[in-house]
Amino acid sequence: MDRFISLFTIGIAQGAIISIVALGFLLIYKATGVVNFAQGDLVTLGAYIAVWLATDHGWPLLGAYGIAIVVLFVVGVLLERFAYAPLRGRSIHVVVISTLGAALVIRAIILKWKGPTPTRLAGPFKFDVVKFHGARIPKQNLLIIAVTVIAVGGTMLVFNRTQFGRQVRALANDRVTAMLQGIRTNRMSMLTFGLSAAMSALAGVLIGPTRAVTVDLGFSVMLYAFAAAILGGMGRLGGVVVAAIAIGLVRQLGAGYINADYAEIYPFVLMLAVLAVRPEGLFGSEAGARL
Amino acid sequence: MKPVLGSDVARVDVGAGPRPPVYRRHQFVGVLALVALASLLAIVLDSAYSYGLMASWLTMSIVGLGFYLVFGLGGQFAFSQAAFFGLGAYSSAWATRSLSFGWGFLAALAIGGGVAFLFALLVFRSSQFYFAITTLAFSQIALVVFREFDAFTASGGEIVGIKKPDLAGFRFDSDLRIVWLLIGVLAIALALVAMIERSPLRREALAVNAHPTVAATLGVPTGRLRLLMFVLGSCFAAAAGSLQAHRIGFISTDGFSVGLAIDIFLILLLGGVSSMWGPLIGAAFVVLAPEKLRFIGNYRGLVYGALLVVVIVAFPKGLVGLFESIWSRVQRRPRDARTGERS
Amino acid sequence: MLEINDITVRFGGVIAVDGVSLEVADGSTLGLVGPNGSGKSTLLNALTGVVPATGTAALDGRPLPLGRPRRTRRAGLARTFQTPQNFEELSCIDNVLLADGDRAYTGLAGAWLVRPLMWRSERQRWQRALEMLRLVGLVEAAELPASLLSYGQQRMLELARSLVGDPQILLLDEPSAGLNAVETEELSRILGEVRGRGVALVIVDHKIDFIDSLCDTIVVLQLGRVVAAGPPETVWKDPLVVEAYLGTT
Repeated sequence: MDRFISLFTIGIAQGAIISIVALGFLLIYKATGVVNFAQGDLVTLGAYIAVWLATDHGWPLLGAYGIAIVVLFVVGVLLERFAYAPLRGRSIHVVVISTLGAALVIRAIILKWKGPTPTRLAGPFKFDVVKFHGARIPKQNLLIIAVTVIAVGGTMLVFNRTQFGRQVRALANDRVTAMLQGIRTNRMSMLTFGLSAAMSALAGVLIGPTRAVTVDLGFSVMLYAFAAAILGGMGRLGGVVVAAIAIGLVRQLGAGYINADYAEIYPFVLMLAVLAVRPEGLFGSEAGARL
Repeated sequence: MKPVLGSDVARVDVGAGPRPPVYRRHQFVGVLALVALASLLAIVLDSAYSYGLMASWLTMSIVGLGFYLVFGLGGQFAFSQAAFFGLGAYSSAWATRSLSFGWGFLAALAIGGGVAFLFALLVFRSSQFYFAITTLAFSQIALVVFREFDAFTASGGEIVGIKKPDLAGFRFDSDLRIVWLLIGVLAIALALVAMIERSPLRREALAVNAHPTVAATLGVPTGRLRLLMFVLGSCFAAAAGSLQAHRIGFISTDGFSVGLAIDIFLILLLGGVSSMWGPLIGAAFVVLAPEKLRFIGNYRGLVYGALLVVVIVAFPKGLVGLFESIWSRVQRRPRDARTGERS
Repeated sequence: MLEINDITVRFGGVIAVDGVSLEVADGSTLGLVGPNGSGKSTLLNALTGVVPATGTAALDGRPLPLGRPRRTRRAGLARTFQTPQNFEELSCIDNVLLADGDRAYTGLAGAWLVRPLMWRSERQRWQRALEMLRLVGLVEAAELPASLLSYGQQRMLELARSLVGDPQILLLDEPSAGLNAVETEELSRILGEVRGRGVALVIVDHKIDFIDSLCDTIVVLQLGRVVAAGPPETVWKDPLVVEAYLGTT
């Protein structure tokens, strides 16, 4: 039982991180239609900035995390200005490839700046655990879950209750009409890219303390986030969060009860299986399927 | 209604000759020219290092050619090319534990093609974006399987001591001989693609690429075409993987990561996504640039990333497109100097 | 004869086509008119499988499955679109060749294994394609990329493409839109020739003179429903029709 609880909480925590990244990705997708392949590297960048401030320069953790998030907001806006805005009239292929290029550039910058050796990001709890029914649950995981609940709740609130959220939904529904209605698409794009990057940074500083920080940190999270977005149907925030949690659980429980060596791929197998049966995704109503 | 056309219209001779000059581009001539050039190069080079580079170029050209089928013709955004490259390598290594190279090569083709077929069938009905993500997922799955499935690969996914290629007793055990083999395989690959270009498949694939819905209303089998291009392109990658494994004698999962998949994107985009010759140029760049230009070698990720953006924004047709527009501009000038009429 | 029964198309809460039924007799020409938003184009989209729809259709008594664009085309239904949907990267003749009904050796076997047979089929297809291009006056542009054509020529190319499969019924979605008077004249003439070959036409359009000159029957749609049907003289006098076009709705 204690094993199950342990795996379960780790799975939820991992799923929580995935859901933050997935929501950030979905935000850009809904507001601009772009698939941002640089999302993962933004997570990595956030973690590394926090490392530089906290681990290398001894800054207090909260300050380091906060600065990382703010810096990534700016990076997100820059990304929008350089990799998206100049290409606005072009086909979606072009924009996607340019985000791919941006991802490579960000990665290369991180590599040049901090080098390839793995490093560590300090967390507020070190390796403290909480004991529950015999299971030892790292406090960091609880923090992750708590922060995610706030972040997701906040996102959904913004999405459904604020004018900003309304505008994003209008853009997602019908871009041309939204523009005709006077929605400032330029500003919206910059804001969404910035917010999305900031969310990635949040994910980065949350996950950083739980593992070695390398240049690949964000990439696998991004893949799972894509899978969550697809499984969740690309449209419904709630669906995506549920899918993200499911992915985290599948990975951990699969590792624990099936075979740990293949743990990384269980969520992908799940995604493929679901898509084979329902090409639109689990909760999908979008045109996920083609004619 | 007489269409108003410029003086550079190619006149269609209806009924004259065996075929209208619709397929005017001389793909087969190009293949022969390439073989001649490559052969010349092979004779001229003399160091193991140069042979290694040339062999890499030939191998990556085959992979890129496969990606031309998947993405250039078939229009599928796919990150799986590197994974099939790896699958071909591991399959060939596995088969040649007890069989000869010829069987290994065939195993690579069969397993690569079979897996591609099954995979595409599975995610057949997904939209283009979903399909792209599934290919990402596929490559991750492949990497883990390579690493863990000991019976098929080896512990940790590293295999050493793969024997050199041999066909009917003739061993390709020198650098020069391996380059000959690669030239031969590339020539065959180019010929196969040329045959596709000079057939109805070309217009159908391009139509499905551009407007799949409209193409379907015309009776074009959109799903089948996409499947065909994906499987063929993946087979090319698998074949290249087999050759790579036997040339180097050693494979590991490092060689087939998503980084390689993105390099393959660059190979095709830089060379020219809408031309079968694009991969050759792109592969030359990707193989030579990090070696010859130290600065690129050091800042690889940065340069490749920036290049991707620059190419897709400013040169969507890649270097081939650049050459073509320069060529047509050169062709037009002499005519203006005369009466504006074509001779 | 094409029979359409109770076709309904729903987009979310909006009913774009509401239980439309009509008949197109062999070799006849039917005009489909109505104010904007009356569902004319959507009806064509429903028939050719571009949008999902409920209802049934039958060609010469044989059921025509909705939502299967390739089957519909094979059964003998061809169409043009509201804006010409040509493949800009392909040459004009390639555009037309795509639609040829004879798909012998167009696959991998034809490309790799039995090329002489492929060439033989291709030559026949070229002949048919060039004939269609000649009909619409584009034969000299056969090898040019479609992107170089003017708007009117693009319409003509699309027409040639839709004719090459030897369709039984041709659905035309606003074929005269964007054409000047001279081009519209030419279009009328060509459609007359097409009619002469026994092809039934369903023309969606706004230009009344153009429609009247060609059509035996007119069907008027409003808000997705048929409000009038009959020969032109009768329909244009129908008070419902007058109101639909000039009235407050």
